[in-house]
Amino acid sequence: MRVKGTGWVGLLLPVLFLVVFFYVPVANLLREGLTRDGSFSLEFMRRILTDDYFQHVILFTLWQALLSTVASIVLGLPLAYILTHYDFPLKRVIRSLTIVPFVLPAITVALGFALLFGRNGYLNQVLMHLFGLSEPPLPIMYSVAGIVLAHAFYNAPIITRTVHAAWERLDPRYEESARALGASPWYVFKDVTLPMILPGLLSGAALVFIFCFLSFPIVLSVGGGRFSTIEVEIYIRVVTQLDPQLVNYKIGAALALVGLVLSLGMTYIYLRVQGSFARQTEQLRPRPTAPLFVGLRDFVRPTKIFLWLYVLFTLLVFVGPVGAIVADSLWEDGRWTLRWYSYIFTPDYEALLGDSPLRAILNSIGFGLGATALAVPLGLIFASVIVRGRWGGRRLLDTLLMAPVATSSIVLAFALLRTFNAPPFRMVGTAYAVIIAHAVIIFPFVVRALVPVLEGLDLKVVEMARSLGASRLRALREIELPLVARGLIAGAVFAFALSLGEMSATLMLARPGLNTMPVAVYRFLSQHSLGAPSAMSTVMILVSALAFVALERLGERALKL
Amino acid sequence: MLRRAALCTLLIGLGLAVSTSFSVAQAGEGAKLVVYVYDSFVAWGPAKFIKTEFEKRNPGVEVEFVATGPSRAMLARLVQETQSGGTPADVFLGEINDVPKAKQFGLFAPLNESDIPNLQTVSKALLFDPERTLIPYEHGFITLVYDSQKLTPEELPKTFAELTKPQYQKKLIIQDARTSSVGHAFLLWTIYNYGNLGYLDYWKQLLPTILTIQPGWSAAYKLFTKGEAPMVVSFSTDACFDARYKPLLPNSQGYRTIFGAGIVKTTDNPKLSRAFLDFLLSVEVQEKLPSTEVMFPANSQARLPKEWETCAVIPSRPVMLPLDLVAENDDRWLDEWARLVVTGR
Amino acid sequence: MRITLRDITKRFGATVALESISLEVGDGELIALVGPSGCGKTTILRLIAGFETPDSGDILFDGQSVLGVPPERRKVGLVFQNYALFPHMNVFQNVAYGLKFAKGGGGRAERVHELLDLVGLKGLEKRMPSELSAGQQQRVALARALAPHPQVLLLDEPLSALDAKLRERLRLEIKKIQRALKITTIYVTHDQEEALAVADRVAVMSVARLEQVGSPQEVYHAPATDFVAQFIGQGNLLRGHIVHSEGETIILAVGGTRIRAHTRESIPPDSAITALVRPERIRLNEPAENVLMGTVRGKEFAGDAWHIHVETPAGVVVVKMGKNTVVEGDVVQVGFSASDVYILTDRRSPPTP
Repeated sequence: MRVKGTGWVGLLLPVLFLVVFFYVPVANLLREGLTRDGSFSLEFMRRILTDDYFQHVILFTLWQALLSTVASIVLGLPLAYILTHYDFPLKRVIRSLTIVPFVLPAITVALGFALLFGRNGYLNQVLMHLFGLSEPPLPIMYSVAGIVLAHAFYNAPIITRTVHAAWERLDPRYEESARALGASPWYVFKDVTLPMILPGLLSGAALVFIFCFLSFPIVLSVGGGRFSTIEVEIYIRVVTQLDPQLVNYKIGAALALVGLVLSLGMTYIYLRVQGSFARQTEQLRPRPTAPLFVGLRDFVRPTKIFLWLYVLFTLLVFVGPVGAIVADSLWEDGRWTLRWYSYIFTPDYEALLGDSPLRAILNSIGFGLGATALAVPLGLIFASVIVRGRWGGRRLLDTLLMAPVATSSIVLAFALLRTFNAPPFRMVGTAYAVIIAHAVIIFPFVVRALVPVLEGLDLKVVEMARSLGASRLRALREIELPLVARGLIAGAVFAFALSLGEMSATLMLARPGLNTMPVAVYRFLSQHSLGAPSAMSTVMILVSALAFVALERLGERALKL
Repeated sequence: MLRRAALCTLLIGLGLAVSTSFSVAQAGEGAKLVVYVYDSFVAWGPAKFIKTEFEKRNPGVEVEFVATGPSRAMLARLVQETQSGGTPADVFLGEINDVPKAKQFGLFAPLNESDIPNLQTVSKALLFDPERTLIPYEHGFITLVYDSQKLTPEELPKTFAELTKPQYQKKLIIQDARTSSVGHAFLLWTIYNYGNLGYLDYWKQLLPTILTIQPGWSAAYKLFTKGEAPMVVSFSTDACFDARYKPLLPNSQGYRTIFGAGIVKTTDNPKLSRAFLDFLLSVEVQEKLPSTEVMFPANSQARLPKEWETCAVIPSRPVMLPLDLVAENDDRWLDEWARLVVTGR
Repeated sequence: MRITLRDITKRFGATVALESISLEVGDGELIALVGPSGCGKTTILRLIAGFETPDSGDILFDGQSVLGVPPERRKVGLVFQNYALFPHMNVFQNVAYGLKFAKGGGGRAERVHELLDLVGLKGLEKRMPSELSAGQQQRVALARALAPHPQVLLLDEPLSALDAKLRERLRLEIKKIQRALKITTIYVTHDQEEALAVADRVAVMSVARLEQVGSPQEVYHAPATDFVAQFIGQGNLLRGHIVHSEGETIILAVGGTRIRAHTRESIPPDSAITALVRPERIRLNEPAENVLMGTVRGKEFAGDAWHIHVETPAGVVVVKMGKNTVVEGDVVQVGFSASDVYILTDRRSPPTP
C-alpha cells in the first residue's frame, strides 16, 4: 500500500481513465453552455441566473434535496440504531438487502408508490374504508411529499449503512461515561452519540443530498410535470428540445454546469468537514448487542412500542412499494396469476425487446461485474495515493475525481454517446461502451468506500509481517487484503448495485442484445401489458437481492473473513 | 498492492482495446439497416413482424431498431449524433409535429412517389408536409378517455370549458407536452380551441382538474387503469384494447396525430431504406398496425379489423394546427406552458 | 457511602461472569478489585454503575437496593482505561458535562476550575482532548468524574494505558485526592502491585469468583487461597512431598533436600505438595532454617534490586537482593525461614501465571 515510484505511475491510470472517458467528453458538452457562435459568452449563464423561472427551479431543487435528505435521515437513523444494538434472525441478510432499493429503476419505484400511496392506492383505500371517507385522505402522490418519500425510499439505506458502520465502531464507554455523569439516554444521544457518529452521518447525508439534487426520473414520475428540478430541465432541454441555434441545448448545458458547480462545492465542503473531525481513540471494546425479540412482556414496553411503530412505518415505506409491485405482477382481475411471468419469458418477445429478460439478467450481472472489476483496481490505486500522499491539492484532486457523482446523468450519457460515436472510441452499442460508462459512474464510490478503510490500516502490521519473513506479495495477500477486505467488499457491492440500477447511459449506449434489467422494465412499461413491468421488476428485485447476498458472502469467503 | 492493481487495470484496458478494434471492424460489414424509432413501437408495436418479414424478403439484410426514448428524444439523438461524428441511423420513424424542426437541421432526404411506390396509397388528408420528408404510415386521434366504471355518460364533460368545473377536480391525468407526443398534441389541441392568446388562461383554469402530468403516455395510462383518476389523455381507439375505457370527445373534436417515416440524408443504404419505407406502407404491414399500434393505417387500401367498426372512434371534427404554425411557435408555447404548470403563474 | 454486593450472579449467555459475589465496601474506603483479565472485575464495576443487571442477588448503596435505578441516577463517577473523553468537547466542557444534570446548577465554572486545580490542569480549559498527553487526559477524566459530587468513584483500569513512571505518580495522586474527598472508591486493575499500593483493602478475583478480601498486607503475606498466593507478588514454587508432620510444622522433601514449613492444615504424609517462597524473603549465603544449594545462572538489574536466578535441585529460584555480590557460576546457599514458606493447599501444580 505504500506509494513509491509505482504510486505516481499508478496514479496516471485512474486519472487518464477519467480524463478520457469523463472530463474531456463532459467538458466538451458543458462548454456549449459557455459559448455563443463559437466564442466565450456568459449569455446562457446570465439567462439562467436572472430568469425567475430558473430561479424557481434551482431553489426547488435545493429545497426538495434538503427535505429528502432530512427524510432519509429520519427514516434511516433508527434502522442503523436497530442494526447496531439488536440481534435478530436474518440480521446479516437484511443488512445485505438494504441496498436493494438502490437498484430499482425509478419507473418501478414510481409505480410501486402509486399502487401503495396513490389516490386509489392500498393505503388510501384502507383508510377510506376504515373511516368511511369519500375522498382519499393522504395526498402523498403527485406532491412534494411523494417526491421526498420516494427519495427517502432510495436513500435512507445509504444513511443506515454509513451510520451503522460508524456507530458500530463507536466505543460504548463514551456513552457510559455520559450516563454515569447523569445524562439520561436522550442527552447521551444528543451530546455524545450523535456528535460522534456525525462524520458517518454527514458523509451519508452529503451523498444523499447530491443524489436527490440530481434525481430526475422520480421527480418526473412521482411528482409529475408540475415539479421541475435542474436535472429535469436538463433532461427536457438536452433530450427533447430542438432548435437550430441549439438555444435549449445550450441552456441545458449551462444548467448542468450550475448543477455541477453546486454539487461539487458540496462535495468539497463535505470532504473538508470530514477531514477536520477529531478521531476517536481506538476502540477496545466491541458494542454489546441485545436480542430484539425477548418475550411478550418486553414486547409491550413503552420504548419498544416506539421501536415497533418505527419498524411498521419502515415496512410500509420500504417493503410496501416493493410488495405492491410483486402483488401487481401476480394479481389480475381479482385472482392470482403467473401469466405475466410466462409472458415476459415468452421467446416471442425477444425480438421486440431486443433482449429476452434472461439475456437482460445476464447482461446486467456481466456489466456490473465488468465495471466493478475495472473500477475497483483503479479506485484502489487512487484511494491509496490520496490516503498516503501528504501533498497540497490532494483534497482538490479528491474532489475533482468525485465529479462523476456530481454530474447530471443525462449530461454524462450524452457526453459518452458523443465520445463513443466518434473515433478513436467508436463503440456505441458494444458491451465495452456500457462497461466503461458504468465504471466511470461507480469509480468515485469505490474510492469513497476505500479511503476510510485505508486510513484505518496500520502500516506497522504490514512491516511486522515482512519482518517476520513474509514476502511483499504474501504480506499483501495475508495481511493487507484481509484487513481492507470488508471495506473493499462493501465498496464493490455498492458499485455493483449502482451499475445494476444505472439506466440513462445504458439506454443511450446499448443496442438490442445488450439491454439490462432496468431497460427491460422500461421497455415493458411502454406496453399495454399492465403486469409485465411489475413482473420484470420483481425478477430484477430477486436477482439483485440474490446477487448482493451472494457477493458479500463469496467475497468474505474468498478473502477469508 | 498498487503494482498489482495497476497491472490488472492495464490488462483489462488492453483486453478492451483489442476486442473493440475487433468489433469495430465487424460493424462495417453486411447490409444493416438501422431504424431510429420511438420506444413504444419496439415494445409492443409491429417491430418484430416488420423485422422478420423484411429480412426474409431481403436476404443478408439485418434490421436493427434503436429505440431509447420517445419520438422527440430519438430526433434529438439523431441531431446529436449527426453533429458529433455521424449517425448510424438510416431510417427514422416519428411524430409529424416535429417535421418542421427536423427540416431546420436538414436531417432527412425529400421523398417522392417514384422512390416509394406505395406512397400513392396514402390518404391525401394525411400529407401535410409538401416536401414529404416524413411520409405518414399511421395516424390516430388524441382524445380524452374515461373509465366507464367510474363515470356515467351524464357525468362526462362535454366541452373543454366544462372540464374546468370543480366537480372534475383531480380527475384527469395528462402527459408532459415537452416529453410526450400525446401531451404535446393535447397542448396544441387547447391552443387550437383557445388560440395563441387565450390558451394560457384556459390552462390556468384547467390546472385544478389535473391530477398529475406524467412524462409519457404509458406511465399516464398505467395510473389511469390503476384507478388514480377517471380520465386520461389518450387515443380514440383505446376501447379496441379494453372496452371499459371509452373515448370522450370534448367539443366533439379529436386532435389528429400522424406518425411518419423518413430517410436520413447520410445513410449508406438509400436503396434499402426506400425499400423499407415502401414495405412499411404495404398493405401487409399496414393491416398489422391497428392490432399492434392501436392506430389507423395510412394506406387507404388497408382493411381495418372488424371490431374496429364499433370500437374505433373517428371524431366528427378531427382538428390539427398547421405544421408551419406549430414550427413557428412551438418553442415559445412549450416554454410558456412549462412556466405555467411549474410555477402556477 | 457504603456499597454492599449481596450474592451476585451474572451470566452472559452460557458463560458465568460472576458467581455468588458478596462484597462490602465501607464509606470512604478505597478498595482495589484485582484479578487476571476476563475474571469479571469490570463486570462488577458495570453492575454497580448500573450498566448491567445481576441475574440474582442485590446491590445496595447505604443499605438501599439500587436495582432498577438507571445509571444516570446512581451518582457514580466513572473513569475508564481509555478515559472516553468526549473528543468533540474541550477540557472545560468535558469536566462541566456532568454538572449540567446536577440539581441547583450555578457555580458551574467555579466547580470546573476547582477540579482542574485539584488535578493540576489549571489553564488547559480550552484544549481539546486530542491536544493533551495521556497523563493529562487521565486527569481530565478524573476531574470529569468527580465534578458532579458522585457518591462512589469507579475506576476501571485507570492507569493501564500510561507508562510506568507516570502510573506510579498518578496512583499516588489518585489516592491523595480520594483521601481528601473521602469518597468511596472501587479501583479495578489487573496489576497486583498497583492494587497493593493504592488500596485500603484488596479484593482478589479469579475467574468469576472472589478469592480473598483483605488489607494489602494480608493478601500478600497470608494469601487465603492458592490463586491469591500465585497472583499477588512474585513467588518461587517448590514441588515435593511431605515426609514428616508434627503439629503445625511439617517437613518437605524438595529436590533431595528437606525443608521445614508451617501449616494449619493436617496433611497426610507422602502427599505431593507445592510450596511458595517470596523472592525478597530469601537470603543468599546466610545462615537460615532452610537451605538449598544452587548455582547462579543469571542476574537482572531492576534498579532498586537485583534479581538473581539460582538453579537448585528444586528448580530455578529467583532471589531478590539489594546488593550485587555474586557472579554467574557461583555456587550459593539459598536460605529462608520456615515461616516464609507457604503451602499451596490444593496440591495441584498451580497454573503458570
